[in-house]
Amino acid sequence: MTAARWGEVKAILASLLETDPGQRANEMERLCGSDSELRASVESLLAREQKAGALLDSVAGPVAQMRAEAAVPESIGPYKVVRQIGRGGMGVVYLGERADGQYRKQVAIKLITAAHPDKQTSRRFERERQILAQLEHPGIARLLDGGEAAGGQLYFIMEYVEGLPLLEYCSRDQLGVKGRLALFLQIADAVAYAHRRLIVHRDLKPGNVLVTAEGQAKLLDFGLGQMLDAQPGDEITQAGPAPLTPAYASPEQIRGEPYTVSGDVYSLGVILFELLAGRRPYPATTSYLDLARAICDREVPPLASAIDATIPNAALLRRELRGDLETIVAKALDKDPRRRYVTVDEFAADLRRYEEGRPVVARKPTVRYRAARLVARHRIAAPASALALLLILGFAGFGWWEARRAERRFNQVRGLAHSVMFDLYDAIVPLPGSTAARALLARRAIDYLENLSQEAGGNRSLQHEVALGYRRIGEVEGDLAESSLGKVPAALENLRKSAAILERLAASAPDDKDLGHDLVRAEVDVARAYGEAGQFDAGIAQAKRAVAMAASAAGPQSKDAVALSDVESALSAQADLFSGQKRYSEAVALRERVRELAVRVASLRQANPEAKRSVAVAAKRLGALYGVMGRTDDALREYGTARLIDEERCARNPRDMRAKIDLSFDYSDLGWFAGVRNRPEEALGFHRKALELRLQASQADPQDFRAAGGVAASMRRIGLVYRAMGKLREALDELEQAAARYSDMTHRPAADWETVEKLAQTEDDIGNTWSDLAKAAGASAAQRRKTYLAAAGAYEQARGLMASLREQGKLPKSDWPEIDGLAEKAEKARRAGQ
Amino acid sequence: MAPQDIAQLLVRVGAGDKAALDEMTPLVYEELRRLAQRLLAVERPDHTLQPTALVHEAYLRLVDQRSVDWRNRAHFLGVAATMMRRVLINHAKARNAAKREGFANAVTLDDAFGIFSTPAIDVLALNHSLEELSKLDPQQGKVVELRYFGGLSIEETAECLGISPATVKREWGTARLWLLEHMEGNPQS
Repeated sequence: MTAARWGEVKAILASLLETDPGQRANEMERLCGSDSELRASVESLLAREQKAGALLDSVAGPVAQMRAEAAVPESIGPYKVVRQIGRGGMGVVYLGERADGQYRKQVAIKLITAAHPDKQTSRRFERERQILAQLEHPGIARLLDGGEAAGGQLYFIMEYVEGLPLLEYCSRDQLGVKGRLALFLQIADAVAYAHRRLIVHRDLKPGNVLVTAEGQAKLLDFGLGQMLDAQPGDEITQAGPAPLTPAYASPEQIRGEPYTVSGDVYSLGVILFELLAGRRPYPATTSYLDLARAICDREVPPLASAIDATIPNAALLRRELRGDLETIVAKALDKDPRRRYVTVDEFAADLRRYEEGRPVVARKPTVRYRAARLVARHRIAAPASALALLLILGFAGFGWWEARRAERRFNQVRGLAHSVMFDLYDAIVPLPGSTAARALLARRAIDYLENLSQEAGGNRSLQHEVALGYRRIGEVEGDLAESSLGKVPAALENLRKSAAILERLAASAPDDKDLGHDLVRAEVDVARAYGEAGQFDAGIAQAKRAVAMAASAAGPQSKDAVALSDVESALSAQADLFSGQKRYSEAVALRERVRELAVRVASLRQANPEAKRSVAVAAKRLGALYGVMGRTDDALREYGTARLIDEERCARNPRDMRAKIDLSFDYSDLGWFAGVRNRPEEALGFHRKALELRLQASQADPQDFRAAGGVAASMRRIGLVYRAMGKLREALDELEQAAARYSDMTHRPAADWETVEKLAQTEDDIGNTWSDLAKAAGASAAQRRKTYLAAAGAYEQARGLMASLREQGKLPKSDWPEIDGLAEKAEKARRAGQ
Repeated sequence: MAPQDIAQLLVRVGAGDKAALDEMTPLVYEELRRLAQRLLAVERPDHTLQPTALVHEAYLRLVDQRSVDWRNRAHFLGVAATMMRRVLINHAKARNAAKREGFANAVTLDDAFGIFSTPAIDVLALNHSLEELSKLDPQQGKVVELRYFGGLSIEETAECLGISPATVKREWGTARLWLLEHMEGNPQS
């Protein structure tokens, strides 16, 4: 194309782009005339309009985006931005303050600009955030909050840490080996704590560790890497793997293999190496590729040889580092993850052994090992030498191979059990009709666990892991119980196994707070499982034990939020068990204490939205109990508290669907109370508010069965209030809508017998309303007959549903008499209609 | 050259010192290039809360420098966009080289730069097509360079080229279509 021709094409194209799409054909005709070649050129270009808009968008252009990021926003979510304090690969970090003046506390705001979340990502983000918010450790900067900023980017609110980066702190204070080791152990303990909660860091480096003036090391950005990792299914649109800092990345991470706990062990090894030797294992080269090769292939230099010879006292330092420290670091930095410390705990334990002058577990790699590595690295190229090696090594070599194989199998099993129990299970939970598959997975996981626990031997951290595994299975089986019945005893059994292991571990380490926390949780789970199984007395006894244990761990006047929460959950379990036996006065005393504790915990953890939610839940549950006992005023007071908190949560984060569902329950229960107190207008107001929230949640996720059920339940409530008011047409209208929704739900794979029963109950309500209408004054005899027949139809519908449930063996015996009751009602209405 | 030096030069430019602009242009480019290379060479400052992307800093200082007077600013924006285009091209080449060496999945080099992540578009192909477009229509080529590589708004682009915003819009709108067609290997040339 010539410049002149392009000028022509361009002019027509520009004019068409400004023309309304409907008019374009005519305009093209007019502008191109008989020049068909011109027309073809223009058409071909015009066809790319949409694609060009998406691809060559100047606003999304890399530099324009960067400029947009550089503009400091005034506020993000409910936080006022004070100033920018940093910028990294994923986004920008600001210093911020709560904007609502609730309390003045400085926070760090991390705005993620590198990725724009879709709906699925933000839901996952929300879930992960809730998990991370529970990481409470002095060595981890707390994740306080998070959400979506006005521009759609995700943000995190983190504890603002005032301190120096790790390396800077060490060199400023000229810390010796001992001081550096002490700091490192703080870091390792924090990482180990998170690992026990199944959260890996993925980007451990000295820059992610700040040391406060008090000498406390704090890890930043825990779990963020995990949270921002690409989603399954969106590899195409998202940038490659999660970010990493090459200098601290493990060989497997460089190769792009899945990240495991072992990756954090390796990164910690690099940090320790740098802390002690003053430089990293591999020199900063001029290219990424050289570094990547070094990490994957080159032997780790001995720690002592890496120190800078020009520093004062180099010889002395070299002597200090040689030997055990060198061996420990080398084990953490092994190229083969299976030969590293299995857990960070083991790594730390070995360092402590070194400090105390006891023999360390790490061994110097033997010549044989090095030779084996050589073979492994060139596996395909060197089968002959492998054979030769085996021949040379003889039986000793054979034994060694066996041992290696056993170790490998062990680690495989461990990894598999983990993946089955957590990743896989979570992945299939949302799938409709996955109950059977979930049960199968749980069974498989138990097999693995049994194997593991037999091999765990004296390995404490592994035993801890096994215990958490049993608990997980127990929880899974408990969940299954909701949908398929009959798994309760199995759940109880596994939860008890978990508690037993933890109890044994705790007995020999009474000061281990994490362990104590997990133990209390396990005991509480066991108590609840007893309740599920109908063994209330055993449950109450168990719960009492858990309460005592938690209370003694927390101590009087405790300010330890985690310990207090433990007391809270133990008391709450005990209260539920009393309620289950209708021992309300005993339950209410406990629930009052739970509420009090929740308030105390929330005041200790001011910025934590979960803590606030706990207060709302505690108030609500206390309120419900008051309600059952007829103490309406007390009940209303508690519900008022819950409502205020939940309203605030919704206002703070309008996308928080869980807060919306929570609030909808407040409204719904308040509506019920209003109905009981004969205030129908007020009741209607509450139920409509609840319905509105549930509709929002249901629209946000049409697959959410609970939200869909909530919508139908609210409609039914509204219908019932209308019926009580005598507004029978309106009542029928709402009830029919509720029935239609329930009916739709019964066709979904996630439907269970309770959905069917609710549909039947709603049909019963409809029958009752038709009957009311028939009895109402002013109707002609013919109308009345017709109305009775309609009532009979609804009753018959309800009866049929219940009867089919009974035939399928799904209806609890206690509900069987209702079938006859419905048949009677149907018969009566039919006769009245003749 | 430290960012402070750039800032100082900018103040001189702002005061109307034409020589300072000429003096700093090669310096800034060199700085950008050097920083880009350093970032690629892994030496990413490892303190999270420290501004890492110094390239961005330098560029942003240039572009969003309000004290520079109108005429100089226009000149400035043009220079800056050209520099940024070169930085981006070099970066894309480096990444392709890394890919060829088989480390495609190993690391997000993008992360060192942050801003270059999710390259929905092949920057090198775009650059090639843009060179062709510039032969056909130099002004239109400049518009694309300023808008896409310089990150300038319609108004800034207009200011820089001394044409009306409406013209910039038309040039940009039609150039996008031409470039896309050219990149898809169906050039009407």
